[in-house]
Amino acid sequence: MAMIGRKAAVAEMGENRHEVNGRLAFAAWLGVHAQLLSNAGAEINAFLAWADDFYLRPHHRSADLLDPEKVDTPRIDWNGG
Amino acid sequence: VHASFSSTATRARTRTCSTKGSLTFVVIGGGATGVEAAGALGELAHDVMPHVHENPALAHGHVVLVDLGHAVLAPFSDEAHEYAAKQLGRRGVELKLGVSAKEIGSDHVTLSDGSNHPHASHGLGAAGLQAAPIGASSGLPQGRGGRIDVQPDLSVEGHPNVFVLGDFANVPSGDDPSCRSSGASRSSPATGRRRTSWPTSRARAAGHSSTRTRGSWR
Repeated sequence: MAMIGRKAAVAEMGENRHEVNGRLAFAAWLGVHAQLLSNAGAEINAFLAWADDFYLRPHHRSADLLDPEKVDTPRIDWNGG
Repeated sequence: VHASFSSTATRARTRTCSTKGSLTFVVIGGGATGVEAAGALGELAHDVMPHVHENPALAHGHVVLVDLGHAVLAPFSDEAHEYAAKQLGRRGVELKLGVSAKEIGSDHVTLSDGSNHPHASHGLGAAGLQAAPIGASSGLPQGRGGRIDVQPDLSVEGHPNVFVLGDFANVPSGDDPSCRSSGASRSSPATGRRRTSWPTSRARAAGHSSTRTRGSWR
């Protein structure tokens, strides 16, 4: 599985390693990462953030993660809440 | 990355000269990691940062992806190669294939085709790594990329005291039937034995386990 950018990825899926690309592969990439989150609350928060960042307002994505002044403030509450 | 966008925006505000080239990122390696990094930087330069710093100079952000091979995402199909190249191009990423990086300085990157990217503020290494060639001389069975074939408990078949870790190990994947069955039966020597009773004389070959990134998933 390889991500290229918003709505663009390449992935091999299923037992026969069928190759898909495009939006479906990108959505699968998000799905794999959702599986890695620890609880339902974190997953819901991630889905909301992804919907906003990647689908609803892609040209207004936050750059907070890169800002050294904000880097210590987690965007996802890993302990649930 | 954030700092270079900020400083370019600041400099562009105080000077009238063109800042073209001052926001050049050279990503070295066209595997999954390099493609993801280049795509993300391209989107950052063209979609995200212009709204953070409202300065037209940021549109000059330039991403170059360098790989010695003939295609990006080489392990995938030709169709995927074309798709990835097209998508990267759409994000303003310049592909330089069949080319390697010759020199990375603090403010420039020189490529093997002689082209020089002055003011390249960032050279990003995303090239693949291979564990030391000691694996080939060990006489143990080797799989993909010269990695030593191991069982799900990381021991080598027929050598219960030899364990292989990190980039040295060709670990069976989760959908491999042999992985499922032995995991269920717990018949492997390492899991059946308590940690403290492991023989201290066991041989171990350790690579850089930290180099397996999420980008390397297939």
